Amino acid sequence: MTTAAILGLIAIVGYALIAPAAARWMAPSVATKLVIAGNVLSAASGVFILAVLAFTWIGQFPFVAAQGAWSPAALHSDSPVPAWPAAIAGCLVLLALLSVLVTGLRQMRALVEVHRACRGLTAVGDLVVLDDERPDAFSTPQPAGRVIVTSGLLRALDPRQRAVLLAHEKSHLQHHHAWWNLAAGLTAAVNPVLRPAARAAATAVERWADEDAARAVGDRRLVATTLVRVAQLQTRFVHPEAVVGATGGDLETRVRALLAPPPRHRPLVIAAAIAAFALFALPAAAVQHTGEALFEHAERPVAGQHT
Amino acid sequence: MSRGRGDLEQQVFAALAADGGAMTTSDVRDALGGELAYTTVMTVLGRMAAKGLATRQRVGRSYAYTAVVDSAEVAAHQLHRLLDARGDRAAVLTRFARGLSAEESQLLVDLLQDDE
Repeated sequence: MTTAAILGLIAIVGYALIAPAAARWMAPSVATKLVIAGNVLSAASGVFILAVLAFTWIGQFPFVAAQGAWSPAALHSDSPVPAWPAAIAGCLVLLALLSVLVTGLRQMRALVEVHRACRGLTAVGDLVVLDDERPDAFSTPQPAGRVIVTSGLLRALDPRQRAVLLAHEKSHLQHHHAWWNLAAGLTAAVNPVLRPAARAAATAVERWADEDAARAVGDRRLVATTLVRVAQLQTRFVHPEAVVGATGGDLETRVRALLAPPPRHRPLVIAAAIAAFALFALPAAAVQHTGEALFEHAERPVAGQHT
Repeated sequence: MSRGRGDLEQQVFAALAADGGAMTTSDVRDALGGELAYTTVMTVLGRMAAKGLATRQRVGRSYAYTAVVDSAEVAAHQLHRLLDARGDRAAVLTRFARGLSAEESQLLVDLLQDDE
């Protein structure tokens, strides 16, 4: 069980190291879905493995053992996990659950706040133009998602650049990108090791919208120049501290990708990624199996004769 | 370039809002790059006026249109707070681009030039 648990945790770290590079190899829509699915699996399997380890220790408390059907003494002598690593595992599980709860609640509150702000606005389709000098554009999550663009930004762009901007934001709404980003953020809250992978997913989300915009206007280079233009316009207005929190993705990566030929779908890379996920799940399954066996073995002889 | 009806309406509205003032149908057509048929732009503007998205006044034999940009004060105030969003509020928004440092900006300009 200890070996399986250690392998499982190593698999998670391995995934976290590989995922950002793997994301660049895939078409952005595929990268978004696979990396976020991988993050969710890794976050869940990490918590699961640590919880099983912790329970080999928690299960030895007499009042817990009384609830179950096992003997604390038998469990103590059988358990391959010493008390202190199990206790640490328990603390990590608690921390992870607390962190995801706090992040989730704060994001929910922010969602409500954003929706309240957009309620009752005059929208052309889902486009809201805000009378403001500062150049800015963003979209809010579906359902009832809105594209919000300032008049200052519209003024600073030419017609073709405006078409890029609107097509990019439309893609965000159409593919529910805000929700993908929120999911990625939650996995990073569960396990900080997954932070680089979550950032890579956020960049993939922006790349996805960039590719959709490039297809809509039929000009990849135009999308790249529009991106740089908007970023430069914003630099003059946005406070440097605000830059950190904004989810613009990695601009350099996006511009380089747009100047390169369009991404191809690589079925082999996708198949390899899915195979890797399955492989990563094996240690967690082994932990589950051996954990169950451990508690069954420690069962009191009287237990199970309920009939 | 093919565009849906809703997309076209957004483009026209964006052009009107960018200008801020009153625009005739040919002004709007020029502002959209001049590739659309006059009658197409006229139809879209007429529909927007009917929906209350634009106001119009007579100029000679045709109309000049002005975009109705939301002036609901409370909503506008809340939206301004979204513009300044940080942390969780920023996390629920997908932003087109963010500001750049001087070095980043130079790097991107170089990238675009190399590509030419």
